Amino acid sequence: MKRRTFLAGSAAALAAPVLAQSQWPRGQTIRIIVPFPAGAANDAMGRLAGQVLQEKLGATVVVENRPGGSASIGTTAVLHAAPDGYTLLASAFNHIILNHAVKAVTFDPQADFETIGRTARAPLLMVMAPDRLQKNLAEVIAAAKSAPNNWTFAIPALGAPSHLATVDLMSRAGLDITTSPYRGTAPALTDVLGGHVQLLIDASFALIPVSRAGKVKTLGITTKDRSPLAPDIPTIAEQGFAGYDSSPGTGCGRRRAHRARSASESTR
Amino acid sequence: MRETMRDPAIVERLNKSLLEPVVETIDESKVFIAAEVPKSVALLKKAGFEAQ
Repeated sequence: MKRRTFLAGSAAALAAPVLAQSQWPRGQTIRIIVPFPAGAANDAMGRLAGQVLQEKLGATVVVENRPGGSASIGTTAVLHAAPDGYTLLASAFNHIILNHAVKAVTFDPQADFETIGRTARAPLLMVMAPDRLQKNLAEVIAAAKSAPNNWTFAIPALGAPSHLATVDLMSRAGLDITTSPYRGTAPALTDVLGGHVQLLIDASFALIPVSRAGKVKTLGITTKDRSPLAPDIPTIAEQGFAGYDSSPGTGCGRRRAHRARSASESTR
Repeated sequence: MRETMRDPAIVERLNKSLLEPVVETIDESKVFIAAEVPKSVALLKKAGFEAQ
């Protein structure tokens, strides 16, 4: 699926020094590719970046959603763009390890991409389907160990921070339950809301509305300390998992103008 | 973007979703992201995850 939004107006390139509007190359469009569906945290941050670029540079900015393949489709689209710096990747930086999570990925994230900037920390929430009776994380883990076939963890995207946070928790808890990959947050959350899968860790951006509305049970936040923005939500760390900490960033990257030597090439 | 991330209206908008704006240089971002790679790969290996 491809969704394009043209952001008309004025705006400066994230990576470039700030330019006055009059200095921006006439007709030069900035393309921001979001490798997730509209509505994801990356999508929101990508659109925010687009607005800023318009306002600072006076450029036309196109935000394009290219979901699928655990973000590999959109990321690959950036890799195939002209190496002129005008095509950006709005990401939770999951592309940095995509080659370790998705077999079909053939690029080397470190050699082929460069980081432009981190714009926000995006904590994750762990939520549970509303039809489950457990009251807290300890009860969930006990129940899942007792009847592992009755529990499934939704994975919105392989290699994404939500996936890493999930495998980290499962490893620490000694949980051996099914994990089910999805094409993004929306379908995963839909199945949690419907009780088809039971557990989901994903960006607070997507989960806080259903959490606050009581449509899911919120089990914890993945940050080391409670968020001052939601002090009522306990950390996973304080519920028996000291040291557990996942506080991923969102931001932008782009393909390198010239491919850098990969780590393996550098050691030859 | 750093200037934008200090904008009170943007901060308020992000905070509603528990997002915390980051105000750092490009080099600081690069250091943060570079440090995430080995940690994330180690986590996948420790969990026995294989690319799918």
